[in-house]
Amino acid sequence: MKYVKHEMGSYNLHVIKTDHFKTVNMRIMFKRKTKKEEINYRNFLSLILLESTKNYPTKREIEIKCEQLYALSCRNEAFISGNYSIISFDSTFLNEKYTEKGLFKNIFEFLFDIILNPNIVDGKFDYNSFENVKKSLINNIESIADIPDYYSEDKILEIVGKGTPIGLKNEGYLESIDEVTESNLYEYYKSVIKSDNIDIFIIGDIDDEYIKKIVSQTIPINTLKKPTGSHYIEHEKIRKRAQVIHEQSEYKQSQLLLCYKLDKLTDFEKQYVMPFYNYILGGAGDSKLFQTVREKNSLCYGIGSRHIVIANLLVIKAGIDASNYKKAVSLIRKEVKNMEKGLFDESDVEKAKSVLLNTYEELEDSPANVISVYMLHEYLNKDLLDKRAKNVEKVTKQMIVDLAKKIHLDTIYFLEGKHS
Amino acid sequence: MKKKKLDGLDLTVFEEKLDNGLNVYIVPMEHVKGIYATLSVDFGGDKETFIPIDGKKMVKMPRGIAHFIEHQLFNQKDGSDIFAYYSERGTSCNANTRNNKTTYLFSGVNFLEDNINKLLDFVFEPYFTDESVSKEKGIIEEEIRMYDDDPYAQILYHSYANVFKEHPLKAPLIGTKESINKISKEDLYTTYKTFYQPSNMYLIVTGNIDPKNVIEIVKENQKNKKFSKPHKIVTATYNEPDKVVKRKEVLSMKVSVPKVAISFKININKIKNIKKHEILSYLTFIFDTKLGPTSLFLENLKKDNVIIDNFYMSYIETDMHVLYLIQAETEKPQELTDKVLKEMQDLNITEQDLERRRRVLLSYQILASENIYQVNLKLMNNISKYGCILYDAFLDIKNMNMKQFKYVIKNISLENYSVLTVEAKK
Repeated sequence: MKYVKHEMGSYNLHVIKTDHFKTVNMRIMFKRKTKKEEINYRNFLSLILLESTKNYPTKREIEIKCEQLYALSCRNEAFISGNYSIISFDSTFLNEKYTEKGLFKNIFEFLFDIILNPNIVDGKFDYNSFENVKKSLINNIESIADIPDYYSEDKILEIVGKGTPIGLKNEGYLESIDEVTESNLYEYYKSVIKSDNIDIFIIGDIDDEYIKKIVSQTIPINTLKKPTGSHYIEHEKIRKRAQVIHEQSEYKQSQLLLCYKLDKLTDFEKQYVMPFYNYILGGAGDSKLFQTVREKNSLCYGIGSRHIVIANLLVIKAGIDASNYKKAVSLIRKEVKNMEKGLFDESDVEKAKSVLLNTYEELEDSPANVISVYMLHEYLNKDLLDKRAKNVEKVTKQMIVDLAKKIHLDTIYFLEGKHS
Repeated sequence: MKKKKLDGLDLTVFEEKLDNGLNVYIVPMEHVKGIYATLSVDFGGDKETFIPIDGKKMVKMPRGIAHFIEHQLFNQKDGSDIFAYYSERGTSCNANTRNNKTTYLFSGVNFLEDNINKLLDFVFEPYFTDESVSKEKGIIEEEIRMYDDDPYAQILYHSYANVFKEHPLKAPLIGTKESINKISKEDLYTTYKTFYQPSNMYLIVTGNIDPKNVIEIVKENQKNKKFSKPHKIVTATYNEPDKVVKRKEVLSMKVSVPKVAISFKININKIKNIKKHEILSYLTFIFDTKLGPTSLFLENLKKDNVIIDNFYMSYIETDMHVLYLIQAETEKPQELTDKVLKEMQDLNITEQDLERRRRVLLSYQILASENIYQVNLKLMNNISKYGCILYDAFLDIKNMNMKQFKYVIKNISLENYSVLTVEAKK
């Protein structure tokens, strides 16, 4: 694999040339500072570009074109990455070896058409496309509550992250959705193209100079953009006593979530020590939480912990019966305390190490994962795979215990279902 | 070892049947680091009524026993933890139960020999105790409750129940609180011994491997194990009618937007001289072309505010029937249902549509041949559904034609449908 980064002034082009895959994958990312009032706009934009273009004025025509281009797949997503918000445009298509000569040219033309040639009528986005997207977005916002899993996670982040980007909702806000119109969305689109930071990642058996030429000819943007700051959210306030929030629900199962704040971790801790901590505590089937809460006490089917890197949070989640609330909370808190006391073995550290090393090696088998490695390097300054493997070797049990002291329970959220 | 190419995909499968009957399939893949192994047994939720290996009469086990065994095989006699064993080797391990198979798997980069041996050891060395069985019940009860709160799981359960009268699919594979509480240690052993014999199982390994090395490890492992002589497994057969059980059901759940699920129960046994997987390709082609994202029909439904997003389409097969399930979110369930049923009355499709479809299906084949998981899954599906690997799948797609298509639609009926509506509970 050969990686080249071209700094083109108004955007960066990252080319990873490799003959390991049958596909070519491209990811185009637009980013700017997170602002609550822009979330709906960005969600609209991510969907509407795939809804129609000037040359393909309906979704149906876009879909037919994708099929003709050998099942080209395109996915758009807008999400909050801490202090920054990103619109990501992903596509996967087959190599010319498996299709036909000249396919790349047609595909790039089509993909850039989607992004740069939207279906604008009289200075506004096309009405039908706009309405379709609006219905989808409203549906996405409302349907979060259909699945207790999503609802409870959304809820605890809203509570813990109040006043920071953590507390903002990825899916957007119903109360302000009508503020977005076909015409102000077009204004917003223009400002995104002009002033968002843009990174284009492409991986596959593709010639670096060829792709550079195509992209520079197609992208008409030439404003110079400043480098951006850190995505990470650091916490200003750490609670001495955790808050407990109960909510009643109609669900049969109860959702128990414990959210911990990670206070002033070093870069090394964020990137290397925390994955160890998380793996040992609640990352897999042999973790402390899984063993204690599920296997020994049969209180749940699913339990685990998740490290939300950008937000510096650790969230523990379990689906339990309402009558087991007290028991589950105390077992979980005890396991977390045990981490701080160092009540885990060197062998746990070694296990986590092998799993992490294995994960790094396997990342290279997937084009999307390789792109993510370079993207995280670009955005979060995360190390590339070679360096990661070396650094993982340095992690010790003592480092994990020291880190455990910086982890503070902030909120217990209990979405109470009916007692069985 | 037999060696055969997967047409059009630059992949070769190495096949061998061991003396004890275990079928082994190995696909070495270039440029990858990972290894993915799956050990499946031809036993899932569909076969819970059977003649036990040491019995004469048909026995109906409590619903959910296939899935229960899957959980319990992780219980070890020496108290050791399978997950920990694999983690120590940087490997992850899991299992799942389907209606037509149960699968145990691992994926990792190193320690191939250890990993394969462990897989073949824990699946072939059951250890069920009253205590372990009783603990498992609490865990599975919570798993059941998790699905109780999931509207999408409920749609599947109710749709299947409305369609199937006799076939086991009529009840959820996981069982109910009542049924799983009836399961005893003895039931587990009886069922295990009947189905978990090498000749009823298959191992598929894909990724960064040398086939010779893999087969040696497997043979060495199996050599040391004692199995009873392969015997013929007799399971209940079901005389499933073509008619659905219930035409219509309205369910009230905590959902934000009402949902509709239309199930078409299609008998495919009247279609002769076309391979089953090809019939399915044609059927999927019909539904996709009529209702999918490239159809004018869908475009109009969106324009008329009848549907919000695309239809979600899936299917499940039995020996005789295919159930196509068409799901959508809509504020106008009745209008949507009427329109879909009307649209499916006319199955005229053009040569152009078929041409585009062929290209898409061929592309999907290649797209799904890039990683170790998809290649493994493809073989697993081939074996569990058709009993062998479809080496010529690529060619079969190239040969799809209008004549066959017309023959297929002439011999199927879309009259047997059932409509489930999920209303938003106030």
